[in-house]
Amino acid sequence: MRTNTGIEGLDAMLNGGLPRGRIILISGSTGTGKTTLSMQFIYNGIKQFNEPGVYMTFEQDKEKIKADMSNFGMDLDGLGDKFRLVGGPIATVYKYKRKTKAGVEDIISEITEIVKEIGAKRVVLDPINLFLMLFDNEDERRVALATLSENLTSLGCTTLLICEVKEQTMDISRYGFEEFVVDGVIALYSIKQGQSFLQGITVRKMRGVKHHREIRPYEITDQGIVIYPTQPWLPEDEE
Amino acid sequence: MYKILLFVVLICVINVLVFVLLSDLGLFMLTREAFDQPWRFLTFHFCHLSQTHLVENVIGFLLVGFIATEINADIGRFVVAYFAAVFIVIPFVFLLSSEGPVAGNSTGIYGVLSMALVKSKKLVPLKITLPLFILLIFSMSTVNFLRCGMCFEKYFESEFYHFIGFVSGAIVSFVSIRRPKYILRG
Repeated sequence: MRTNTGIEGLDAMLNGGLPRGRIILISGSTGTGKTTLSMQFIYNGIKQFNEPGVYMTFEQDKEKIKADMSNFGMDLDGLGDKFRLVGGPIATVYKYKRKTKAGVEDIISEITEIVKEIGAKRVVLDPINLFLMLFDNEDERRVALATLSENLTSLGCTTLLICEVKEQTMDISRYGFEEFVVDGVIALYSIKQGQSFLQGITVRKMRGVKHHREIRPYEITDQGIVIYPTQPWLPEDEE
Repeated sequence: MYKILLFVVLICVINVLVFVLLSDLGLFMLTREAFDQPWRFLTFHFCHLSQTHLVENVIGFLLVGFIATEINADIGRFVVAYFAAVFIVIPFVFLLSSEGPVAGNSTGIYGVLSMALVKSKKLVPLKITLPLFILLIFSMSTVNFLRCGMCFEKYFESEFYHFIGFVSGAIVSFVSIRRPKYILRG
């Protein structure tokens, strides 16, 4: 069973879409379009496939996200009850956490509750590294990630965990354990070449799915992310 | 997680030491003289009437302690449920005009047992466990009533205290159920 992302080039690279009910890591450095790609996954899910979705942010203000996405033709307010945008800047969320003395269990239960409320089938957590900063130590982080993955999988959600990595590296995670609890990894690269950055996307890992392994170019257009699944990423002499 | 077991072992050790070391346990049990000797209100649950009584309570408390640890019960709630169930019986002892001394911590054990049952209600529904254990608590009187058509006051009184402890533990558990803490919807 597949979950079609609604992004043609990506679905082509995945030979039909993401494996349904699995946890996928979307990794990339700043400005690679992780948020746009993930929001397209949610938006297309609701508009094209009637699958409710939850977007959890720990980075940006919700109103700013709505404004940014409207530039790509995505009217988030028009999605009604099939969509939930929750969270906010990490400092605000952390303040609430300290105020309420919420623990791992509380945060995971709240996420699970929100997902259940609208019967979400698609979930995005943006970014996982800031979400993990809510917890006090490595053990809590591992428990939180494992419990969250287990809960979302049992609810049949296809989940994207966004992971911010350092600039100009081929790293795919920040803490080094995120990629081991997920079923798939999609990496977005942005490499400086001359006066500009070349952007490329690849499916690094996708359990149970036969997928393309090449890095393919993509663009962030006014329609969102557009991937070219048959074109080479770098000119021949650079590869 | 092991704090509960630590607490249980501590109480059991105190109970055993009190039974072994104190020669006149009667001075510390709960009787009508407690109004003149108020320490009895605090000491009665460390005293036991016989070796069998002590062994039963130690084994029972350890078993419930293991169950509570296994279901990740909160130590604070465990301790509150235990002491609430131990001390809640005091007014009933006088209301029921008990002649004999009241001793032991079995009401506390029933209190933490019901707390554990409420906590694990997803494993076994309360509509099964609560009536079943209440029946178990009153089993002696029920059997006597079925056999002889009457209940013995001595047994019924003890069962009634256990029942009060059991109910108080369940109440503590319900009252202290954690309210959800929301941080993402703000």
